[in-house]
Amino acid sequence: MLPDEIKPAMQGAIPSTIVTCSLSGVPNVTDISQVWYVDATHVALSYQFFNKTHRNVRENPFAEVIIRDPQTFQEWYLEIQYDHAEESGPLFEAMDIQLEAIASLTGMSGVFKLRAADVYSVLSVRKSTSRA
Amino acid sequence: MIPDRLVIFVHAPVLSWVGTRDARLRPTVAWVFGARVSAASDEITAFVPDVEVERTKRNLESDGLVAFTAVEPITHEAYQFKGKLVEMRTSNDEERAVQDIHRSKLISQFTIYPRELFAGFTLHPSTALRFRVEQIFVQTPGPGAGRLLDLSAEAGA
Repeated sequence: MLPDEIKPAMQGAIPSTIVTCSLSGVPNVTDISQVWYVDATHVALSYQFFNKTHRNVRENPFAEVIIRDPQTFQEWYLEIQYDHAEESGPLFEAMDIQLEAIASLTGMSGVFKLRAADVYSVLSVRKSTSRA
Repeated sequence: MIPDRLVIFVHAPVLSWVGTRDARLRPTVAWVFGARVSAASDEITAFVPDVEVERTKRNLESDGLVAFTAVEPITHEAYQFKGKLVEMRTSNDEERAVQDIHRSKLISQFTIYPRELFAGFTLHPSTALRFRVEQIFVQTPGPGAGRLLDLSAEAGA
């Protein structure tokens, strides 16, 4: 489902944007440091803080993210559904290394700390039409 | 209710988005290009380019719940304003000018980014979403992210 051309948008060079929704129906929008390509039908998001996004997807698993290609600025919209969290293992280790790299480049060293790799199923993907 | 410092923040060259959800609680997000704050009425009018507004409009027609987040991309300072839709309509000429000024501010402020990053977005036509702010949250990355601002304390400061 995820095309190869989407992979540059998952380098973390430009922060992504995620919207979630609580079970009581309140939407929540925030930046997220990392959307990681797992395979053609899954992505992983960095879970760093116990925040509203974290709480929302545990009670209502649906979310949408915008990711951005740092070279073409093409944006992609992904509808995703939370599946599980990984607190160790190869995926966690790889994301931890990249998150530290992102932090060091954005002045966030010591602020960003990976607590888990949250794995989501990709429900749909589409290119944004927002650019002329 | 909305502190002066946040009025200035929203009118500054910030990146912003609006989040809504449908009746099944499936959320969607859309770019906002330009916004105006009316501190006197605790309202924000956010301008969403029509090229990506359809789902947002459908969601707001059914429930009217708005989450609006503004981020300063260098310092990462960010706030989220949550509230209820008051009005949704096509942006007028003055508001189109606000959008153009906002884009010019982004281009001139963030010279570390190529001009095309902001210049390439289609801004017009757009939809004006006016909503009454009920809560404001700190969204700056870190352990304090998600903290509800105590607006009465800010007003007394």
